[in-house]
Amino acid sequence: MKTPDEKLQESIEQGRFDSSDLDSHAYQIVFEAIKKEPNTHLSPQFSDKILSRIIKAEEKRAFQKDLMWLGIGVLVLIVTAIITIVLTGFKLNAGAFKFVGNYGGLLVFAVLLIGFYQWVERKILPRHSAV
Amino acid sequence: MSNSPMVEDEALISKVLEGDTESFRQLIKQHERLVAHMVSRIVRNSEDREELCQDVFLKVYDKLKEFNFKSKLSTWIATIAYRHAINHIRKKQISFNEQSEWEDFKEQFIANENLEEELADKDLEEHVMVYINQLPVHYRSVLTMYHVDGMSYQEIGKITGMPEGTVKNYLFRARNLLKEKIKKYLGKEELR
Repeated sequence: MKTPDEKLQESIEQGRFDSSDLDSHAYQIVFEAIKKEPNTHLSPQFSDKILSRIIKAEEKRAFQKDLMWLGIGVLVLIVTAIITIVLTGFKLNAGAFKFVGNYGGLLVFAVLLIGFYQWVERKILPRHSAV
Repeated sequence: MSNSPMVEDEALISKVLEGDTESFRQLIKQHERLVAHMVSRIVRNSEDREELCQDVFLKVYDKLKEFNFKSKLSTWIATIAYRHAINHIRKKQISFNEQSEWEDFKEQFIANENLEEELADKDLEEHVMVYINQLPVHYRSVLTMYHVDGMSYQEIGKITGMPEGTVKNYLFRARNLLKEKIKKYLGKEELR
């Protein structure tokens, strides 16, 4: 069974009210006000912001996908190399480069010299190449 | 001759799924008010609202291929918005004022006069708007869905996961609380 208040709400909803009755009058005010939109301010670029977030998320997803394929590729390469080495009994042979082993000091000197040239070039070139 | 909203929704969704971003922009424009209503009634902090509304549309975009046309697109989007906003306030551990506290809450709500001075120069409609914001979150959202967005009890039930009886009950209680507040205010005005 409906309470008097429920009945009153129903009749106000149907547009029937009695302004001499305080409850009815108060309900009338409430029913008028609750139809009003709440304050919902969204920026004018609202849809642009969403679309740019979607594009960024898709780019990130595509990058992660590429990264995943790269990882799978490297893994397959390593596995294939191991299987090949095991099946063929392959042994690493330095061949003609074996003689380098006798000149270890020369090799280190060569690397240091090239490194030094690179360093000097970086120090000097930017000053001279500036337009 | 115009197509039915369901057919229009279907055409729009298939374009979005084909990767047409302008169609998604159209979908946003069509539903941004609804999402903003849902979020703003649940989340009081205005700084969080716009970002939450954006998050809702990102979820819509991600889940659109799962939409099965068993309900209106607007109901489905409103469901996502409602759940997202509720989860947000749960994470922030904001009180819900659940039903079990109803009698205490009603008493406190009607007796509370903290806002009276602040509202002194405002008209009655503004009083009601401020009082709505003091209501428990489920009452506020049910009121907005029913009176502002024109949803049926069934739709509101679908969105909130509440039985229809609970929706009706919350709606009745919310209007009753607001009426009591206004009645009290009118009584005071008469005495002046």
